[in-house]
Amino acid sequence: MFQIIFKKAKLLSLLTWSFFSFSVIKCFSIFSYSLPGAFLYETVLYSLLFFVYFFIFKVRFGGRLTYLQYITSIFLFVTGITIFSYSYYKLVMLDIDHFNFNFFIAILISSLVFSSLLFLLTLIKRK
Amino acid sequence: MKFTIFFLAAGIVLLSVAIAFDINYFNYSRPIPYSQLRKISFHDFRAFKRPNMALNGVKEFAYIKTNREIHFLNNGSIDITTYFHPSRSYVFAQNIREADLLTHELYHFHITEYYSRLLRREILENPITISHNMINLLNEKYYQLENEMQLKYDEDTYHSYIMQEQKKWEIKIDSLLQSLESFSNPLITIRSNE
Repeated sequence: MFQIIFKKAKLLSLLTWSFFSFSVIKCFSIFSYSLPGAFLYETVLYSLLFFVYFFIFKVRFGGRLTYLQYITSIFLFVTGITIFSYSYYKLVMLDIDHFNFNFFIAILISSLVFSSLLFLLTLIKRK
Repeated sequence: MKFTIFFLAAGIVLLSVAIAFDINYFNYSRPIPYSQLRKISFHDFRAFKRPNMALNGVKEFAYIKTNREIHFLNNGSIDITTYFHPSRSYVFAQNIREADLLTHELYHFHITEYYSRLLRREILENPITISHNMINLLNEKYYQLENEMQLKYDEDTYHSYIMQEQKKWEIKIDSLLQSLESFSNPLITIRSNE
C-alpha cells in the first residue's frame, strides 16, 4: 500500500514541495517577524501548504491518497522541512542563533490535526 | 519534471530573498574581530531592515550581531575570537552621527567579549582535563548567560534611551572586562607536560 508514495517520482515530488514550502515560509517570516504569534501563523501555513500537496498529488499522479498514505506523507513532509531548516541554520545562521526543534514537533502536530480535518472535509464533500 | 523544475526554481528564488534578510550578501563585509573595535562605525552596519520592523514603535533603531568563534589549532592551541558581523547588523541610517547609539551597540560587543574571556579563563585553568566537547558545551552555557545579560542591558537602558542606566552599564562592563584583562588574547597556548 505504501509503495504508491515511496516511488521515486512521488518522493521527489514531495521533497520538491517540502523545499518550496520551506522557502515560502522563510520569505513569509521576513514579514511576520514582528507579529505577535508569528510561530502560530507559520505552523498553520505549513499545514495548509501540506494540504495543497494532496491536490498536487491527485493532479500529477491521477489517484487520491488514502488517509494512511496521507498521514505518512505528513511525516515525510515535516522531516523534509526539518532537514532544510537545519541545513539553513548550519549554513546561513550563526552558532549564537537558536534552532528550535520543538517548532517542528508543533508543525507535525498541527499538520496531523489540521490537515486531517481538511482531509475529512474532502471525504464529506465527495460523499 | 516540469513540476520539479518550476517549484525548485521558485523555491531557490524565494530562499535567496529570505537569506538576504539574514545576511546581506549584496553588501557583504567580513566579520570584524574585537581587536578592531575602534574601527567600527555605523557605516559597518549593512544588514537590510525587515518590513514593519520597529523597536516599541520606534523606527530609528539599530541592532548588532556578534558571536565568538572557536578554532582548535593543529599544535593544540585554541583560538577564541569575538566577532562583529557587519552584514547581519542594522542601523536605520548609516550616515547618522549618534555617538550614544553607537556606544550602546558596541557595548553589546563588549559583553560578548566578556563571555569569551570567561571561556578562555576556564580553559586556561583546566588546560589538561578539558576536552573539545567540554569547550563546546561551555561555549553554549556562556551563550545562554550572555543572552540573559544582553537582554538585561537593553531592558535597563531601554536601548540607550535611559542615559543614566547606560552610563551605569558602561562602568559595569568596563570593570568586568578589566577584571579579565589577562584573558584578552584570543590565542590560548596549551603546553603539554611532556
